[in-house]
Amino acid sequence: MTVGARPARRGLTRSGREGRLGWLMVLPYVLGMLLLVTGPLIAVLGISLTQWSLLDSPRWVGARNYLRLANDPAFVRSAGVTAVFTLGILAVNISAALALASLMNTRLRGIGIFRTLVFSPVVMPVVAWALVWKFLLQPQGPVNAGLQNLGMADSNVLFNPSTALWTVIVIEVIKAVGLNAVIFLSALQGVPPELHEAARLDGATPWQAFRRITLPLISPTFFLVFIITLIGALKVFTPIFVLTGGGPADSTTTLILYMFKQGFQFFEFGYASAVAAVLFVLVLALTLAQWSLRKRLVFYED
Amino acid sequence: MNRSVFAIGLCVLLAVPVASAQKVNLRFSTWAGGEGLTLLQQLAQEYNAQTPNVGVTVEVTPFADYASKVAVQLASGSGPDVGWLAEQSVPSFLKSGSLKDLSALTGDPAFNLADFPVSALSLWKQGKGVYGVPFSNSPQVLFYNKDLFKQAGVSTPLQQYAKGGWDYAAFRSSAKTVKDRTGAFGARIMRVDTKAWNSGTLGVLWSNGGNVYDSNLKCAINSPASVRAFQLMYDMTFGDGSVPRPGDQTTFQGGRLGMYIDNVSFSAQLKDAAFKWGVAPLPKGTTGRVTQLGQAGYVVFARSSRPNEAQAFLKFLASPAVMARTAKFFPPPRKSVLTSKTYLGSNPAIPAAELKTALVNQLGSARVFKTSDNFLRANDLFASGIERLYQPGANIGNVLNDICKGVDGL
Repeated sequence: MTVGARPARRGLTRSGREGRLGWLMVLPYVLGMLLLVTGPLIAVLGISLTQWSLLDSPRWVGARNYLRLANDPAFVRSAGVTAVFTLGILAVNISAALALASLMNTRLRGIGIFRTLVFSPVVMPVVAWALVWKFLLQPQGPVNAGLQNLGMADSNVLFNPSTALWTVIVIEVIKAVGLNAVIFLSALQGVPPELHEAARLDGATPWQAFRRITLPLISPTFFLVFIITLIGALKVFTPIFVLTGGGPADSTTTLILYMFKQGFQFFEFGYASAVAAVLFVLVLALTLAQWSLRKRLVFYED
Repeated sequence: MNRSVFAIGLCVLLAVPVASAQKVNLRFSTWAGGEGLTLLQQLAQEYNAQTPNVGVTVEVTPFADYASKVAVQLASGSGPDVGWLAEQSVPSFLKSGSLKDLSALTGDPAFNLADFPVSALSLWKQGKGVYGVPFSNSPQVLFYNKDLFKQAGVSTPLQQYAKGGWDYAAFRSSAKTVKDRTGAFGARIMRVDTKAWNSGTLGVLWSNGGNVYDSNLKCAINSPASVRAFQLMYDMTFGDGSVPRPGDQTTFQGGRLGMYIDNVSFSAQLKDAAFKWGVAPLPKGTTGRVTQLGQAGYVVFARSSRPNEAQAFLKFLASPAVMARTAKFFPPPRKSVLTSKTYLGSNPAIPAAELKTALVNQLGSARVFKTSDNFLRANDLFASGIERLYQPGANIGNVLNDICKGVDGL
């Protein structure tokens, strides 16, 4: 929304009165941002230069925590886990969300019930969701029993280091996909039907229509969903913590879990803060990169 | 006019906390659950009745996260005044100066510190100071489900112990028979959370000549005897299927587990159990019947703003009269309480004879798990290694070698 040039009121100038009022109105947000985001962020950067067990007072160690990070194989491994987890979430979540949205956009019978079903995991409390899955995924629970019937002997997907990460990805996608699907649905419904009609008359296949009309028109939404899903995936903690605690054998220890472990299990708050700082820079860099790519990849109608 | 109303209102608001500040409120931190928690809440109320100016709030933090959550509370200046502490957390809390020296209290002849065995106090002493008073000196015992044993037609662990045949071979075959004839699991050795792998596992290791650390605190979990002990547990899990695999959430309380190794205080969670249960000593291995001794104590946190009131409440809790009551769930370190007839008959759920056999007779050979000062990190390596060990087709020797390489490299 743009503020047009309105005639100045009598008395105080606009900058004098509305400016002050404007500051007053954004004050709660600015204060909250300073106190709850910027303050802790600066504190974390400061703490990352110390050795601090929380119970004693912090000791200055300079850049030692960062040097240690560079030579810590467990940190490198958890960065790899984070990469697989994030790319996995992005690929599975966005393609599933788009497919579900396309399905929900049709006029099939019972589609309302289907929409509710797809969206309902989004409103479930995350801990309850994870706990229920933990029971479903017990070694002799229904999921593994089903897989064993399909010929996968000894299937124990959540507690096998080679399948645990993908199991967590799937559970996380089922939980979150409804939100992205609804966002895509609203974008799909904003695509003018006459464009599709014209394309059909010109002999375009459904795939061509999707690729050349739908996708460019929903690309701003696509971009939005991509960014929030990416940042969300990098920040996922609770479901992994409840489902696996980072195990088995650290196969689901993402950077966030690694940070938590260093801080709250090993009481190394300086080192944990260094991990947090690296993660912050990573998210910032990814977001800036996407922002600069936006102009080339996103199509705006106006 | 409006302003004066506002001012009066403000005065009233400010006066309320001032008036109630006459009363001291202490925060007591614990990981107790079930009946044990009920008892603590009742004790807090009784203390308030006898010292009306002191109220005590009982706060619960589950055991797995207890030490870290209390440490965070203390660091942020919102810590409890007084509470429980488990033996594995004592060294780090002592090192950081988080505990108040209680020697003024324990030096009082009326407190009778000599009533505690020297071995039970060593952990809590540093220099001339005494930084905590143990209330629980608890060897691990074997809980067993009488109904499942009856249904499977196997004599109970206690009966087999009485005949002198209660060894690991008998343990394994009993577990397998229970599994085969009832469909329920025969035994759970470790707790559900692999971070707590040492509970249960240590008894099996120690009784069969294995160990986690040698006498120089070097990793010994890959010694030949340790490998054999893990092989036994592995075979029960994947060969016999009598022990639940990692990830399985089956608990003893649910009634689908034949045997379970835990501290006596676990009985507090069996109040509503829909089956009959009993306690027995752990099985005997090639090098004896060695069980893990767990300890927990009362401490006053150094940052408490009410240290004197907190210490007075601790004195009340650690007195012989109150310890005789908490002894119902927590084997009392005070010799006068442990050997009393009232103690052995205090837990209505466990007959005195069973308790004596399972607990008092095992105290002599029970061992405290001595760990290195980097145990928080080492435990993470142990737990993640054990998760790799309990996988189909795992090579136990290789996994245990890897664990030791990591632990000794810390």
